[in-house]
Amino acid sequence: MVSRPLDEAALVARAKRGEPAAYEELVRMHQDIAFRTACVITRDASDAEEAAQDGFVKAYRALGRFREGAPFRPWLLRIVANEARNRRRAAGRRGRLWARAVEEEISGDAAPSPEAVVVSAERRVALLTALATLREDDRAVLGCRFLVGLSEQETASALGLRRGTVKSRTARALARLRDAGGEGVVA
Amino acid sequence: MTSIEQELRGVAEGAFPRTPDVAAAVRARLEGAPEPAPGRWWRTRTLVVVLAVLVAAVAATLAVPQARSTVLDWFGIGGVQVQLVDRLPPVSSESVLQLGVEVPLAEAQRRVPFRILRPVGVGLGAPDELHVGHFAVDEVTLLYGEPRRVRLLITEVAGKVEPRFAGKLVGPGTRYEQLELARKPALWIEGAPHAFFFTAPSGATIEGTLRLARNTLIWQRGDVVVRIEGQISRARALRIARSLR
Repeated sequence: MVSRPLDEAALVARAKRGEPAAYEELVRMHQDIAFRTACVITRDASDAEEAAQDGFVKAYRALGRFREGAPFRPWLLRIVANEARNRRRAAGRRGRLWARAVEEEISGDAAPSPEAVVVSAERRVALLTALATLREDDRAVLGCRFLVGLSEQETASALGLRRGTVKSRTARALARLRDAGGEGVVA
Repeated sequence: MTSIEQELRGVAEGAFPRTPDVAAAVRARLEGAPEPAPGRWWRTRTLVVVLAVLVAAVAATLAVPQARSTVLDWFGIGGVQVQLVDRLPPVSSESVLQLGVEVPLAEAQRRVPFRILRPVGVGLGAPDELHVGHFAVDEVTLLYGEPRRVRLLITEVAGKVEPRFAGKLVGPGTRYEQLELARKPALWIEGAPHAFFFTAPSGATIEGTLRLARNTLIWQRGDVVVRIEGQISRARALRIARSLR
């Protein structure tokens, strides 16, 4: 994870003074992670886009309450995740997103991140399918931790859980993922 | 680290859609009109609105042909009364847009008591047709596309001429959201098509005007009530509304 605390603190300070350009820069730094976190929760790309957008706008209006020097990302993720949860509740739910990701994976050539192992196309499909069969809270915690790449603390913040709960739930969810057919041999 | 965690990280890139340009959208929202605040306007105005539309709402529902649906709730915005019903009445698939007559801009401008607003800088350009209609009130419609294949309608009416001139029936498959846009009340309706009709001052439905409508933003922009209707997203509708000059 690339961290630019000094830049970020300066941008937060400028945004607090009412500079939309500074805030736009902050949004750009965090929009990937915010959108993906919202995707994990809503499982719908357009809901996730709205949640991210509304979350950033609400965060801007709440900047006055943001304690300067505190890490911005967990604070922001909590707001975006909250927007995402409200949408998920309102929409009742479908779970199309990863189904589509699975379809695309069959022909896919997605680039793995450097810290990850190379996974074969068949294995990707098996993993994503197994993930989609997990219960909601297991899926959310694995999605935040390993697909979005959030830390335990950030996952706790986004999902409204204690850090200890994230830890234990991650272990439980990984076990269930293996049981659900996600067990494989790394090449 | 165990293998399955590494594998999950390995599939992460393919698991998400491309991130949209959230930053630009947020900037536009912060720089444009104040953020729509769902519910605020509704809470402060509830009592007034309910009293004002109580009699009319019931009258209009009874007047819609074959409308036996139950009214669950109702409210009004910009002379349009909106009723939430348990199901929509049957609407003929042959029902057509009632837009009035097609006229040049100068002629349309002569007929309405407000300056006609047009969207600027949102990629719409000049409307394909401009109509002036006289059902319950004089209204101007900017039509994009063709009358039989409408892409977008922007309808403008003088907000203070007639307190109540049209109605909407919103069924269970349709969502709505009350907003505040530039400190003025607005309403966003999306999802399954809803029913739209014009009403006479008595509250009765004007014969032949009942039709299905798509996603709609209604905005009481000062003296002009604007309706933006089409297969568009909420974000797009708000962008168009803010661009009106």
